[in-house]
Amino acid sequence: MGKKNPVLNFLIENGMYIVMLLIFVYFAASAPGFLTANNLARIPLQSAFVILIATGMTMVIITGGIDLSVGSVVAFTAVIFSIILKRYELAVPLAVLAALAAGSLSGVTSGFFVVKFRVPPFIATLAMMTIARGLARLFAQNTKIFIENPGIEKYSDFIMIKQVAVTEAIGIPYLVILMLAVVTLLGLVLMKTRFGRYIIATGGNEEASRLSGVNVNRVKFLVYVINAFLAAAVGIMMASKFMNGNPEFGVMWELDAIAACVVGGTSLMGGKGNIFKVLLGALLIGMLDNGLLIQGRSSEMIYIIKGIIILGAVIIDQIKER
Amino acid sequence: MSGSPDTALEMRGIVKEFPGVKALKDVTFSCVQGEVHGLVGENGAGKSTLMKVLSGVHPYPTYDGEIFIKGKLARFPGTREAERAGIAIIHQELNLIAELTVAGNMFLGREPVKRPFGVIDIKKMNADAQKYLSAFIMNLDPGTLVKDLSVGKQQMVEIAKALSINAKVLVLDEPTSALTETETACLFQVVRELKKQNVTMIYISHKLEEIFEICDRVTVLRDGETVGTQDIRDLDRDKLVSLMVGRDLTNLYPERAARIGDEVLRVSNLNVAHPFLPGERVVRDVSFSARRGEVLGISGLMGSGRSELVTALFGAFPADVRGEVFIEGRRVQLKSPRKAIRDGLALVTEDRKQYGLVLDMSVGENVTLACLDTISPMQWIPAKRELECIDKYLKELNIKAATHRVAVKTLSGGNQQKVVIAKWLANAPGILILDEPTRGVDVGARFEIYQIMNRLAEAGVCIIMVSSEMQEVLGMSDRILVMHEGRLTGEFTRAEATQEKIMACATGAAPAAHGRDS
Ligand SMILES: Nc1ncnc2c1ncn2[C@@H]1O[C@H](COP(=O)(O)OP(=O)(O)OP(=O)(O)O)[C@@H](O)[C@H]1O
Ligand SMILES: [Mg+2]
Repeated sequence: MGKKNPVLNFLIENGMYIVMLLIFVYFAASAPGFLTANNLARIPLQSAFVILIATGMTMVIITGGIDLSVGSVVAFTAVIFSIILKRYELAVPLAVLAALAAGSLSGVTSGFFVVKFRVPPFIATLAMMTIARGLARLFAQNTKIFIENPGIEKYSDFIMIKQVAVTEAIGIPYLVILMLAVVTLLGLVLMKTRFGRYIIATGGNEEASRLSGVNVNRVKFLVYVINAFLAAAVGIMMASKFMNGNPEFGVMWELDAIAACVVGGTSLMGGKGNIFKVLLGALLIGMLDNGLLIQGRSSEMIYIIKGIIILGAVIIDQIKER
Repeated sequence: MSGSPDTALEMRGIVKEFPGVKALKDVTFSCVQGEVHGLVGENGAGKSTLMKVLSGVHPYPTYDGEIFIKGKLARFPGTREAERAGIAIIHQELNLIAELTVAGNMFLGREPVKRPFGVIDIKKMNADAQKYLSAFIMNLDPGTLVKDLSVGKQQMVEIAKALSINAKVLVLDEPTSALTETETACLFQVVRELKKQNVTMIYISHKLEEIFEICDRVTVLRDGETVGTQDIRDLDRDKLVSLMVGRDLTNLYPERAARIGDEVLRVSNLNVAHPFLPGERVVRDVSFSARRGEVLGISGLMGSGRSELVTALFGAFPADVRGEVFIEGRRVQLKSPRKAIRDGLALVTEDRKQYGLVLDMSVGENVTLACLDTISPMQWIPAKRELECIDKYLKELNIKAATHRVAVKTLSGGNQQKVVIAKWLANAPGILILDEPTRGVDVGARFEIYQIMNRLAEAGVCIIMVSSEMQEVLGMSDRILVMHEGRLTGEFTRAEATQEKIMACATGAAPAAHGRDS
């Protein structure tokens, strides 16, 4: 706030970008192979699934909620998608619809308990997280469900999905294009539409919003559905990419998504957040993962360093608030 | 280094800038030991900001200029240090923690503890709290949770808290804006008592009668500059007002040329249950009607059920509501604010921080929050149309903000209130309910709000105004309803009404001669 130190102010205001730049420069200098077009292109691809979830998560967090269930929903929907494909002979549209519906239903359930019974979002989605994971394991009987119908690789509907998950157009993976499209769409929804405005208002002051005629219950309900729907879409793509539905997909992804939100400046108190910044936050974490791996660090070290960076990002944000 | 030995504090050449606004431009201010010093000025003049500089809320290097406490240069890096130097402030916006008890709030951060484990000594804390609370002659249990208290009682807790740190200089930033007349009288008693103990007090208020009643000297700020400091005996109301607004303003309540039309609202036998106590009612058998172009005042003491009545009409009261309500002859259900808005109602709530504004959102976003349906019938919000709407109401209500993009929480109290009103005007309601519309609003802006009310009435809007300020009710209403313990105990036309008659009904002293509830 103070005008006395413009340099410090600038550093704090642009904290995330500066940290990102520093990390980038550091890896460029110290991790051979980091600064190649091939590797750099890999970062958004590796982060794409988490980013898709993080966009929905941003909305949930802005309303003052949290969603711990999305990682499990990814696994749950991947399993359902694979089972249907396997059992019902190439019924791709049916499989997609069923998986999306199953995913959305878990969002409906979380949202319903949050809105109707005032269950704290942390609890409601924690329950959903274990339920969805349990169902995934139950349906898959604790193994991977392989999509192995003869000829499926030639089935056009499936190929389309699979292509999104694994191939590229003009050198950019379809998945990255899809991710950017979703980020842009939801980013605009948040900034430019009535629904988005209501999300921010609800998180900022629920009672004042309600008294201004905002249907806060509907807003809170819908963000959980949207988030779960995105998780379901990710589940479908995961299954297509790996040609199986694994009940252990997406473990801890909800935490990665939340970390991306927080690094991207989303306030866990609600009322504040920007999806485009969350995209940057996720890319920052992705870059960290990528660079540390190239440096040959152990996965334990990567966890620890990531944790420290997340803390640092949040502290910068706190200082900015003052 | 500065002034005579009885100068308690002196502020020289204070400059304070926020991004986009220069809130204080070279302000000079000084207090004599043991005086009650009034600080007045329009909304946004910089009164609160000046006091925040004094009390370390805006810490040392974030402002320019010098502060001397008893002649010694003081540079507070925070509120703690200011408190240690004997400066306490009661902020305009309450700063209590709702989930803590009264005592817990009073001793927050300096709770008495039991050795050896450092457990909070709740008994001692409550006893200490009781000592200061009883200075108000009010029975308030120190163990009560703050969230269960009315705004008025919460304010008293703030005051007790400041007393408990043994302040030598006590800043009261609009302390009475939410107090009843009795509570205000109690506060003044305390102020006089503290004065005897040689405590210096700085008293900010928009209620000028209070300034004349309690202050020895008064300093006027305008647009971040000191207009001057004068002895209260050399001033009268009109002189003070013209110093504040920079022009003459004699008629407080503007004339209205509204034609009172057909009945738009009819309430019959409305009952509202108590939100916690089963079997109790906060509104009992209330029936009344209101007309197009009419200003209907609702008077009564705090806790008489006025706010509950209007909140229930707006579909926002969290308890069982019985009775019939007709708008333009059509029976309506009091289901939700959303529904009420569609029926043409609008409610300017009394607590703007909690119920009126989304503090982190911008001024503009707050203005359009209730009318987004009309601005963007499809989901997309057309930026240009929204901006037109915002500009229109910022101008119409003369709201002082650097731009419409700044967070509404950075506005001065009075301007925040105008933003709440703007939000509802933007919705073009047929019935506008205002609950304490001029709380914390300066004389000039108050006049503007009255003018807006008149303009709306002239345009055929039905206005219902709940107010604790007798003068305001008498000056603005065509008709006045009085409530006592949830019942309507009186109804007067403008011509019949007098302060005495209203008070008699409000305290339950008068038989319900005009009451409709029998
Ligand atoms: N934290 C802040 N950030 C930005 N601007 C601020 C901040 N605090 C105050 N201001 C601006 O400084 C000016 C002075 O505000 P201040 O609150 O001191 O007025 P005031 O005289 O106390 O008014 P009121 O009678 O309405 O309380 C206003 O224009 C206000 O918008
Ligand atoms: Mg103020």
